[in-house]
Amino acid sequence: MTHTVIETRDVACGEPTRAERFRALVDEHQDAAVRTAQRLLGGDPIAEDVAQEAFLRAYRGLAKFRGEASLRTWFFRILVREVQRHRRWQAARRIWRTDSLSEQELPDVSSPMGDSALRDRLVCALERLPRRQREAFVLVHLEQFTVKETASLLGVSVGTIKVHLHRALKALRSDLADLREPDPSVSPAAEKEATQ
Amino acid sequence: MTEHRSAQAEAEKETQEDETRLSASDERLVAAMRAGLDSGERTAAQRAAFRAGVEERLERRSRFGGQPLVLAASALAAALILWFTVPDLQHAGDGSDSAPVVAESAGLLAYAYYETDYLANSEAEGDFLSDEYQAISAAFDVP
Repeated sequence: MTHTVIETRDVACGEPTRAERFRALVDEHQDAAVRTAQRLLGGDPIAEDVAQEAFLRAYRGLAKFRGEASLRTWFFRILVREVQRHRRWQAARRIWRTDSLSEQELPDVSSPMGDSALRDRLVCALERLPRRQREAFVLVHLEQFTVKETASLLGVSVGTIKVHLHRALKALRSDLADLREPDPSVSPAAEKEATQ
Repeated sequence: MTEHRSAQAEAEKETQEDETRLSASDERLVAAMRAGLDSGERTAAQRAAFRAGVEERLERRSRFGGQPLVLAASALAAALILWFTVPDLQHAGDGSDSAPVVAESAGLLAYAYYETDYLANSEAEGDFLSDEYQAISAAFDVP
């Protein structure tokens, strides 16, 4: 079925055309897509390219989208797969390279903690999480997807997402312990136990 | 009434499953991470550049639609033929072995082959048709 036939049918029914739906998808989710890709890729400058590729793939699948999930969940499923594909490509490329350049030099955070150094520190902390924990944490706590949506998006159970979130928080508490201000209502012993 | 109660129970169960209760300390940690990782609002210029990037990708795929496998396979074959038949290519000008560079090029070409093969076998239609690009051009007001 050609695109022209689809458009004609859509126009006749008063439904938005595929191009219109795609334009709306890009306008509505562009910012969140770039932000999520950046957070999942550790601030890699290629995050915008990855997000653009995800929209490209979404365009191709838009004609078949039947509304089984929300459009947002459906698109972010594509985005996360695109991020995962990019990471596999980066890993494969490292095998081919014989020089010793690291794919992404970690930022130097030895200087006093300004805004950009703090951001770099947080990016590194996220990067140190295992992939599945990082994805669950970013989608639930930073991008505000529900646990159920995240489970659907990543193709796992709700229980699995909760386990990933629990482990991610535990790791981040430990990694960023020195940045946290002490809670005056919590005793030092309880505070120490929470980070372990 | 029974049906209403079971629907209500189901909704409550779904809400409980969906909740991720955080301690006050973890709430602060998450809020701090959200604030610290926030790179601010994207400008209108950034958004326009992004849309242009998407459009460019669509155009590129439309232009090469139908031939990516042939292109990638030909490029890979050409590289390998040159490598084996032109001795000078096997050594860089300074006498060092240029094998790593050629290996990387071959690897990248092999990945290009994989990528185009992936596209051709993906769940969507595969090749882009030029009229699809026309429709997107119209949507993005491209002359």
